Amino acid sequence: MVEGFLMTEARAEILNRIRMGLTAARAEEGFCYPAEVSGEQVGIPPIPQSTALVDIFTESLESVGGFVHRCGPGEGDVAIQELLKELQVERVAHSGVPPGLEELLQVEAGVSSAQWGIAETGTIVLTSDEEQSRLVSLVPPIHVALLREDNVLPNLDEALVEVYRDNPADMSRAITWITGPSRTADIELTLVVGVHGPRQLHVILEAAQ
Amino acid sequence: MKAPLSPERFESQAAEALNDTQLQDALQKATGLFAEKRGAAVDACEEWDSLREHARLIKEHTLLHLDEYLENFAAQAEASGVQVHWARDGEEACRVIEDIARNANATRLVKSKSMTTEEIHLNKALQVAEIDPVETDLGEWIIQLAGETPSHIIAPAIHKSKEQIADLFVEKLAIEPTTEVEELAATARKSLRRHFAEADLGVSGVNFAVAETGSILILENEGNARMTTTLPKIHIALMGVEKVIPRFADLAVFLRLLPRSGTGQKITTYQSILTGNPRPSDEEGPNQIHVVILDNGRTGMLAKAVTRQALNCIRCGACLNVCPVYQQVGGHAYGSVYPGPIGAVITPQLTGIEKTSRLPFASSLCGACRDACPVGIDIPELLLHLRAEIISRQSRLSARIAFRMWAWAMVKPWRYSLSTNLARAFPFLLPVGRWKVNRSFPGLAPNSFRKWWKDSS
Ligand code: SF4
Repeated sequence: MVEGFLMTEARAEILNRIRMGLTAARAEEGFCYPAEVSGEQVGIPPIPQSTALVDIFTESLESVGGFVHRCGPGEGDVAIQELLKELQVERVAHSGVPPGLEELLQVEAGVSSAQWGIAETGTIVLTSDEEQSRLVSLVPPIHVALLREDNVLPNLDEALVEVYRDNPADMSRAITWITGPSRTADIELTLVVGVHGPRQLHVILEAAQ
Repeated sequence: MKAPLSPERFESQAAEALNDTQLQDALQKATGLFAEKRGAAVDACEEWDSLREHARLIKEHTLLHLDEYLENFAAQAEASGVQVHWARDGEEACRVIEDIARNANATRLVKSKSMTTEEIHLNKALQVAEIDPVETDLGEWIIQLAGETPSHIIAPAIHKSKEQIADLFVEKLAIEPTTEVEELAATARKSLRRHFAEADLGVSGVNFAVAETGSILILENEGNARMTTTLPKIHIALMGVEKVIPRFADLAVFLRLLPRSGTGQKITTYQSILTGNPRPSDEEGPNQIHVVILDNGRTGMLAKAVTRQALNCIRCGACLNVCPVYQQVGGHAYGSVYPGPIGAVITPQLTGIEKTSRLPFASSLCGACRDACPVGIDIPELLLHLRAEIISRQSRLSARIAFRMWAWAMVKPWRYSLSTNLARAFPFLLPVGRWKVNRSFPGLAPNSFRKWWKDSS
């Protein structure tokens, strides 16, 4: 009861401080909202559609130490198996079947899908509505993500439009953007990968039908 | 034991830093590299200037409507199951967080990097309440183990060499001696995993809070913030009132500015966009999310445009890296949670001018910070504003007399030449004692320019 009261009091007081503080400024205000903040407005060069996007995505992701493997339509699962074999990985967790924490700490690789890719930055986007486990792409030392080529978007603006639903209640509760392996430069600004998250990020890019 | 750092002793702390050769090496290397990477990233981004201008406009607009946007944000967050708390000051914020922990019988807490939690001295408050906070960002963890405070907004342990860190790990964690940075980082990975797995509670900061959707965003490179916000059953996010932005689409601007300014990256490795409590069908994630909205002096900056702009800050750290004073003295010399140019302007406003009046003078007003700032804060203008305020308050008698005399002398040519002749005859009268402590004073020329002009023509 008391706590609740204090909280409303704090809220009212902070909002009141804001209104008092802004009285004068608002009186002379001529501000309106910058009409559009889309990529076009701020002069982000348009990126050509289709195949070029995939190349830009690949280049962007590789520049931050991620790996991209391309495969034909419908070959994604096979490509994942081959990659895991090549990496000599045996214990694997899948994001569709959330493993227990102890198991997760033991596995060598986590496999997930990615709902979108962003060419501008080489980013993959994972949503909690699609990926049951958020930890499979984080805890194991290797993360392998399957992304369909036709889900590669040109830039951040379009990715924001895709993950945004008109009603916030429809948005995935946790949307994770991942660009390359986990990294730190906290010791003498020396780059080290895999500090808390994966040391390696592999994106299997599956061609569209 | 060394006296705790204090903004009141900026000069002596700075002098100490200048004599610390290890620190000088570390600072030079780090600030140089940061500035270089930032420069390259900015050069490669053709639309930089328009992005910056957009960001400034969005911030300015948001601040002028801060009450509305905060209420929108809180309403959206609450509608999606998040518990929103408001805290007038740091103490109140600490109490809110302690109460959440106590109600849940939580004693083990992991934290991801957040300058705002540093600002309210959350760790100290938690320890008093017998809750054990563990920092999980590598840099923060290092300084927690060392019992120190961050010396940089985005690279908290920037002042330490790898040898010092290795010694610290050997002492505290009993590892085999090593100076391999990889091994030191691997030690962190291993040691902190247990803490993540066992924690009841995760505390994070917030980079952006979106009014339109009630989402909070956390940007990071390591993955510890993802762990902190996914593994423990309770997540508490602390944000200053100024973190709110109006629309989801506005993120496109800030997500491009912050990483480039901070580390020279196009984008940070991880962006967590968290909107509401996980659904019943979500198998992972906390079952309680709390957002604590903190004032702690911020609303006091709203009234004047010159001070309000400091609330644009997105804590990228760029102004620290380009500042010739920070480059020389490092973060600890400032004796405040926020160091560097932005620290010199917000600390006095957040904590009061009395004990921090040295900070606005810790600048050469060169303007490098203004040029680097991604949200267009005119830091030198703000420094001058604060200096004026400090001087008018202190209003030292000697200074008042000196400026009166100056004003008297400057209005008539004969008075001016009288006073320069006097100064030439009695140089010890010049009030330059303090000036000469760290600089040489060349003295006055034997003859005045006017005399020379007269004689030679
Ligand atoms: S004042 Fe500007 S440059 Fe400095 S930390 Fe804030 S946003 Fe970055």
